[in-house]
Amino acid sequence: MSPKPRSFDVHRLFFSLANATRVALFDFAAAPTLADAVSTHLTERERLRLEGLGSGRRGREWLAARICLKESLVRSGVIASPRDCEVGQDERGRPRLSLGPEALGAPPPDCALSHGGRWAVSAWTDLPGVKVGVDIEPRSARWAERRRSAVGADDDAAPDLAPSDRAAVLWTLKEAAAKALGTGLAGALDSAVREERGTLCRIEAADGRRSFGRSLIGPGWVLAVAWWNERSSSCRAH
Amino acid sequence: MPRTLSDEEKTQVYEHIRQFLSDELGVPLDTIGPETKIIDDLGGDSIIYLELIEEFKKKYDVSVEIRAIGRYFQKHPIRTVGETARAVYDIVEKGDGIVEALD
Repeated sequence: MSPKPRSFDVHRLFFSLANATRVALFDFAAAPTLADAVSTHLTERERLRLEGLGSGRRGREWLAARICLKESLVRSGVIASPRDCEVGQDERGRPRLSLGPEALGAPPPDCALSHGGRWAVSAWTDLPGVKVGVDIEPRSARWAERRRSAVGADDDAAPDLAPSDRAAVLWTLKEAAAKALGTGLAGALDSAVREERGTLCRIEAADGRRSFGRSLIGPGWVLAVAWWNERSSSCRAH
Repeated sequence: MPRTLSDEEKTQVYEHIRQFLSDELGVPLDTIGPETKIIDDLGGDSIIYLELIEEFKKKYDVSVEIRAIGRYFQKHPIRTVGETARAVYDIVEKGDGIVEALD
């Protein structure tokens, strides 16, 4: 008999106008242990992957991000148990979710994962054709030094934020958009963030594709979520 | 200002990158070589690259638009320590001309 999954303290974050995307945040440094989750949350293939990463920082971050996503899917009723889904990778390195037979052939949601410092974050959406990306970074004074490499001359958003927060916000938006598009670090660097309306931003990739994103500053972290609609080559929040 | 790096300076850049990665990622220096993959083997992330870029832009007083660096990375992926060192040589030596050098 499988052990009963332990529930972790994963918080849902609410983004208004967020394309039906569920975003969850997990302060995994505050969890007494993540070890139980290896048997209750991971499939056999995922366990083998974790073994390859080891039990140090990398393995813990990897595991925390998967706990965060799977708990969010369970709480939304997409799956009954964390082991009813598996997080693999597509050919561009984006996470790809597979659902077990209990999902009765429903297409799996598109998902994204990130970790930074003591936090893991996950995002998923089941809107057809919409790809989601997410990024979280610790909020720190080091962003003031990274500013010249994170903010480009074409960026035109969040002008009222302090320089270090602005750099973190713009970079997380670029990273989230690059994850949605599958363009990696090069794509994040070669993109521009522009204010669309209110707190909604448009992220323009070098190849002309446009995604849309929102950022959120919390106690000790900055995170952003971005969406790209592969059917229309851009994705508007609605 | 763009300049030509001597072999000695290139060695210094390479060693600086190794030391930086060792300090920031808590990995023993002797496990980091030219073929070491920064993300897959060391657990680095995009922020490590941002900080490395910033470090060398400041050290060599080079001004390069980040989008130009993105275009360069598109053509020359920087997965390993050796590839990253070569990218830094190009950024320092070519400055804003880095994109023209791609053609």
